Amino acid sequence: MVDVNSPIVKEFLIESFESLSNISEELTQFEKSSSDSDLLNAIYRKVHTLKGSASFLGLKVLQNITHLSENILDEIREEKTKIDGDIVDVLLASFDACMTILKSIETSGSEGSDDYSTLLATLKKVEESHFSNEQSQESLGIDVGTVRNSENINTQEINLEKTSQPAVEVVKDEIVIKETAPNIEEIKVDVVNENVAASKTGDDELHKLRLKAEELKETLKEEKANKGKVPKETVAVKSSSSNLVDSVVRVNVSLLDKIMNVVGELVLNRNQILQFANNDTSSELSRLAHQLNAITTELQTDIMTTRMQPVGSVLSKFERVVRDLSRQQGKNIKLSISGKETELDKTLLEAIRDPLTHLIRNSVDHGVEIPEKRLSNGKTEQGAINIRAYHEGGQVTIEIADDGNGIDPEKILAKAISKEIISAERGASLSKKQVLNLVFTPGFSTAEQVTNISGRGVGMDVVKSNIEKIGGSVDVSSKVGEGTVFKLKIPLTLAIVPALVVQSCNETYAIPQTNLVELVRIEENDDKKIENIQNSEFFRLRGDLIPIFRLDSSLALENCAEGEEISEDVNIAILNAEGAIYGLVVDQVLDTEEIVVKPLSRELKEISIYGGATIMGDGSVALIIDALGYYNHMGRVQATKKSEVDLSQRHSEKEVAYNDEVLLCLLEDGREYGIPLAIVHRLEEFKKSDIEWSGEMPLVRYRGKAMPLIQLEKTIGVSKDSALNSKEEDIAVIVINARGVQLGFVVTEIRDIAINHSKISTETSDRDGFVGTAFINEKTITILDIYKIVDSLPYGSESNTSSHKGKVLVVEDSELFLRIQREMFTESGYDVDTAIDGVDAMTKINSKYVAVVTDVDMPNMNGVQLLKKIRESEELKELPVLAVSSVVERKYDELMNEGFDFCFDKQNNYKAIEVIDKLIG
Amino acid sequence: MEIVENNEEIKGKQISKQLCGFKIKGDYYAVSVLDVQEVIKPHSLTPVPLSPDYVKGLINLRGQIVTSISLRRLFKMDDATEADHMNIIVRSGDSLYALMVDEILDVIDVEEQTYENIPDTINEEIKKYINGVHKLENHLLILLDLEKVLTVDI
Repeated sequence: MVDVNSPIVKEFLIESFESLSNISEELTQFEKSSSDSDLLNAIYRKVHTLKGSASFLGLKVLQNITHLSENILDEIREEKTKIDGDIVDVLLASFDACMTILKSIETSGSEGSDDYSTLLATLKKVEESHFSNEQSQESLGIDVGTVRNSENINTQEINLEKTSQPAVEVVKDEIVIKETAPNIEEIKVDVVNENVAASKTGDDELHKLRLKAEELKETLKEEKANKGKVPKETVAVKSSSSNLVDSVVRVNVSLLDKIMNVVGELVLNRNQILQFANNDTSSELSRLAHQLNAITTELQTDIMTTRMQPVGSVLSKFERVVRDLSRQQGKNIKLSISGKETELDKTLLEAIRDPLTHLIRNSVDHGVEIPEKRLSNGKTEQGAINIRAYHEGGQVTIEIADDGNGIDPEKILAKAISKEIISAERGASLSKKQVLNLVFTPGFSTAEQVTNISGRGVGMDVVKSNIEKIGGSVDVSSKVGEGTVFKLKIPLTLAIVPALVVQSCNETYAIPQTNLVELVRIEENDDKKIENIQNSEFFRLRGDLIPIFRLDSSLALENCAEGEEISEDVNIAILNAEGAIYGLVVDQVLDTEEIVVKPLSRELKEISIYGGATIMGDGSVALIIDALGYYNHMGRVQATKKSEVDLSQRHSEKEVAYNDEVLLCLLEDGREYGIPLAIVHRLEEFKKSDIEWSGEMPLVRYRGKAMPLIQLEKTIGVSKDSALNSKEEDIAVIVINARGVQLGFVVTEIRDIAINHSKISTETSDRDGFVGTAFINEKTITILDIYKIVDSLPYGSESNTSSHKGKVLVVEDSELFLRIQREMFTESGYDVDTAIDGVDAMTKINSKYVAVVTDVDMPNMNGVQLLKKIRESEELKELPVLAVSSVVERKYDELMNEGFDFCFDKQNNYKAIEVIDKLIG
Repeated sequence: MEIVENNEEIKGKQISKQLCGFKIKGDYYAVSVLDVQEVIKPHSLTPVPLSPDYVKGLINLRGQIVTSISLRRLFKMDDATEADHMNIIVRSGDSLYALMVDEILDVIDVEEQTYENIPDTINEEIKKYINGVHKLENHLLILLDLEKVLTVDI
């Protein structure tokens, strides 16, 4: 029994936990590279110190275990024994036992009642079996025994000095040391002499012992000399690291948390002061405020850094996990970790430990196959698991990739249906990606045989929910036969997040930016509107039907701006809650702001729609809407039947969704015209005063260049007026890159983005510059042919189609988009053939083409099917196939997994040209 | 004489407790002063939609979020919250709470002798939140059990 509260024991526990915490990793590391003697020495020293401390505190069991492990390590160190898997197993087991004992000491003050006799016997066996080969048992017995004694004393000395406790009494065998710390110098020598005297019985060995004693004295001297450099107060034991220890202070995490909180408050206070200072004209105040701003920001970053820890501290643990598991299962797996130095907030690091462990276990258990199977599948015997951590887009990404069997979507689907997680009809309509994501559903387990490691069906869903709890996301992609990749995205820190600030009924709410997809505004006299299906509201967003909720009514907000005139304009924030897209109607969208998330009190945590609260710049409190929690809440409110309506509706809607997105704008003749969105670069607004004239040509400075402004009305001859001559101060300009120049098209008003569901009738085109007319939103809209218009102007660079780079096949069902793509590829020097769907493409395709650019969603044969057909053909399988889609952002990984060479967004055709240039060049 | 005095002193030291008294609808209540962080005037509130009715909203107290709880509502009384109510700020676990009361009284010294267990006949709605009653000279003082008040099931 030891007194846990005594400073010595505390120090002992802290130090021992610290050294044991990474000893397993070090050992497994050493097993891999057994030539690294520094590493081995480090391990040895740790065990040695632990043994010394244990015997000093009278912890018999701990002492026995460490004693034997130390012997084994010593033999390895002296190269009497070669390290092998069995030895490592035993050593690891002994370290685990030490950990258990230390924990027991921490909680109860005693070593615990566990029986370690088997472990001890195994340790002894290992030690002896390797030992007996060397020398005669007898002589060794004395020698080793004595030396061990001396060593014990040695460590005790260190301990004495370390703790600087006066009057420490140590009883060890027949040697009694009774001294205070300052006198250790003399005692050491005395003890050694006494020790030698005491062991005189083995007089044959006397000489040897004397030599040993001398040696020992030397070491002690050396150590003392080293110690002398270290200030008396420090508790450093390892002389080599003394400088490092001096510059580091151990700080309690709770203190850091508190400082972090206070800094958070300071940030809020600063925001308020800044707001106040901005309204004030006194320059001194605003100068001070900005100074405060700078200092606070710096302080905030510094404090955040103190909480940052390299992910390596968690990732390294997996060396052991993978090793143990693979040995247990007879697999041969090499774990490689990169990006260990990537830093993450400590709390987050703690939070991802368990999910990561689970994923790793899964990879070992289900992912990598046994060696025989790997060989028969034509893979190397050794499987590989790669963990990669890196920064990406303000987040930390951790990837766990194995080169195992991969996940078979069909098996997953069959399992999910048999477990009644989803219905067969629903399952058939899922994409490959969606099917893979079923593994995260509660109650799902794919292991055909449930092992004690994984496959119990709890886990993957917990992994997902745990990661999502900290604002992260998990993604899985897999190729059958080639392996599986789990991708975890984790925010850098929890405390401060960017958020969209909205208002409903004069109450302010914050929505984390990570959930926000886009903002939609429907104006009073707009044709688009929110539609109703049995009291549930929906909105058509470019062909997708998404459910709409109203923040005010769902939160039962009352006495909402009664007197005030309620604008008919509707603001919808489109949110993405783990794949569920929905729209939230709010009264007003205010701003985006960095907010400090504060937890809600116990009672309010139960309400899942809130993720916390924050304090705004004006000092008021605002609730944070948790997008997923809100969605689930609304899901409970609405009957399940209705959501089924939603799904079927969504489906039929998708089938008719064309990809023609058209930017509608108003010209001075009072009519609306359409420009294909795909060629629009940006929408800008310029002040009339910014316009400069070069002769008859209006110009504006745009991104460091002079950009000509085109007065569309004159060019296409519909009106003599131009928006440039109107009274408005601001001029709406559509920036378009065409024919190698950047041009600004002046319009009266930019109206909307609409989807063209109808066929464009080209017969109605009565002049150059029009593609034709389309029926959009129940109106006839003239679609402008921007390329023709640019050609008619003196700006366009001479057509450079002379350089024939090869023939490209463009497959696209949308007539308008086909036209745009043709123009673009032609412009870049390609010959273009076109096909309207996969079937058409297959009749035209041959090996003369340098690339195929295909739409994904098409009737008859879609892009993915076309790709498969192309890949099946012996002649064509090397042909680069590029996918173009309007939903690249959401589907990029999925499409790349299908085997496309590249995917690009409809808005980003130039990228495609670049890629084709690269692929064929 | 001396002995008696000593006795009294010892008694006083052992059992006298300091309570923070307040009034709700004419009745006298109290919590231990040790639980009270501070007392503040009415503060601007941010309502929390869909929360239990006794949660009146959130307060920004020097950068800390405080959950405001109306004791009147909790005790199922009429909610005639007056403009000059007071908030008693108490801490429970990591969270801060503001108990809305009608009026704040002084710090009251009570002794063990005046303590009485919860009378059986007391109103059920209040009974579940209290610890006991102190019989003071002029009136009764109901001792609130903060733990019970702050761990109500929704």
